[in-house]
Amino acid sequence: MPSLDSIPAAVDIRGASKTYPNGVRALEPINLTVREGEFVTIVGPSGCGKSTLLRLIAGLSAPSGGMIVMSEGFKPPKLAYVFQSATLMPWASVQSNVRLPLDLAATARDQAAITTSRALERVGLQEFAHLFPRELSGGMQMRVSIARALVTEPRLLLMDEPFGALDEINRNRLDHEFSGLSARENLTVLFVTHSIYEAVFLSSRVLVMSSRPGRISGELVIDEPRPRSSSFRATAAFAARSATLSEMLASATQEATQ
Amino acid sequence: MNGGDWTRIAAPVVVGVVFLLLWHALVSINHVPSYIVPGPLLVFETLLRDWEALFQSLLITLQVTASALLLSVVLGSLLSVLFVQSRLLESALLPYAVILQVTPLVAIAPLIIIWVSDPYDALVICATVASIFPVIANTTVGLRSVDTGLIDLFQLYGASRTQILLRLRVPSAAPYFFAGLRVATALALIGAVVAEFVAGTGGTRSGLAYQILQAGLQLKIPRLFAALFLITATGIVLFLAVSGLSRLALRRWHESELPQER
Repeated sequence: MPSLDSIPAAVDIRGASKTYPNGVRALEPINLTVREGEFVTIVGPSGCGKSTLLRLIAGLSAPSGGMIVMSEGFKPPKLAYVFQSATLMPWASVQSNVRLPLDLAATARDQAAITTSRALERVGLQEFAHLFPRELSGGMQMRVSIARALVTEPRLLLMDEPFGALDEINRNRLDHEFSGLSARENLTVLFVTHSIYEAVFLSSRVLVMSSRPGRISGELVIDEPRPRSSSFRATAAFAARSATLSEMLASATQEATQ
Repeated sequence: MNGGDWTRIAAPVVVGVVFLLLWHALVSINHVPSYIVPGPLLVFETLLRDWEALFQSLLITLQVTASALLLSVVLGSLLSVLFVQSRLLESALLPYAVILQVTPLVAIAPLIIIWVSDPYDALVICATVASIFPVIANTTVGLRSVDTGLIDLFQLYGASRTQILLRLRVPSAAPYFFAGLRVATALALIGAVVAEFVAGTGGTRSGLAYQILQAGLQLKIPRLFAALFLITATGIVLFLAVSGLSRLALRRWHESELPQER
């Protein structure tokens, strides 16, 4: 797609690598450009460094080599991170959990209240604002986590297997909702998953990573319009893309075991 | 209230009543003299008769215990916060906290009583020494037991050390702190009583231990039992109060205080 090059980059990863102090090489030098409004998904086996890459981008960990260039307007707090588990404060209500990023930035109380309730509305949780995390199901806890990520009006979302712990019904529903939300708000998303189907359903581009040490071994562009409805899962295009991705992933894992 | 709640209350009450009846029966059948083992009725009578003196002593013991507990909570929590901020400080100071804990109170109490001129202050210090360790140990573990994901989240949003401490570490530590507080409450009472025993004198402000000492010397065994009963009752009331406080603070979110649903 030649038109892609004209879109400005949100994140530009130039040869970033990560070696842990104990000598484990988690990431080979990675080159990757995520452009504004793209939905890029990384699939790969466990331990291939997917989460490490997200942590590097978020600035939670420093690269051992290379560099990561974040474009203006895509750095925290305009960058948000959704973790593998909901990662909520169990002692705080849904509302206080969602408001946390604003509280940490000392946002004015009434402004924070308005923004918080709007974020809750976007994930359909406005009626649950006063409940505590333990009173919610796993899927609803994940929605709270997404609302918290949205509360700072981010432009870049990093998501580390956010729906991995959910059952398939809940996962499909959240995938559907999130596809709509990210397209509507023109979010740039970097998404990590184990699931081929989730990757094909959500992404504009899928990257395949292989492990030990982690590197990008393949790329698949999914040029279907977004947002996608649940019926996309039943199309021949979906099946064909899933089959291709599945093969790419299989050869990536094979390489790693050889 | 359902059946389960009733058993929870009724079972210990039945055991208590059976125990009192047995005690009463054994003492009266065997004609045990009251200066060896008084019957429960006589103990109760003595409690009522000597109420004024005993109640004054109870207040003193309670005061010593409460002051010591307060000191333990304030000093212990502050030390824990310091330990969590600096590993160096922890490794430098923690061994001495342990030494303080493993040295029997009866062994150091005489020194404290000699060094501190006011006997009341000496008792408070002894009870604090006895009760501070569980607060330090538990709160330190609690302040460190923070979800690493939440630490990442706080760092992502640029939280300061103070924000991480107050908004993340302190609430995470609450369940551990309350567990420590329960132990500390019992130890503070024991410390207050033991220290007074060692001091052997209460002066004008004498606590329940002094009453027991005096009653023992004068062979007023029913009075000794009455004072003993008051100490036990105080312990139970304090324990229930702290448990209630813990439930109030944690019931909405922590597993330890949630109603059992099976």
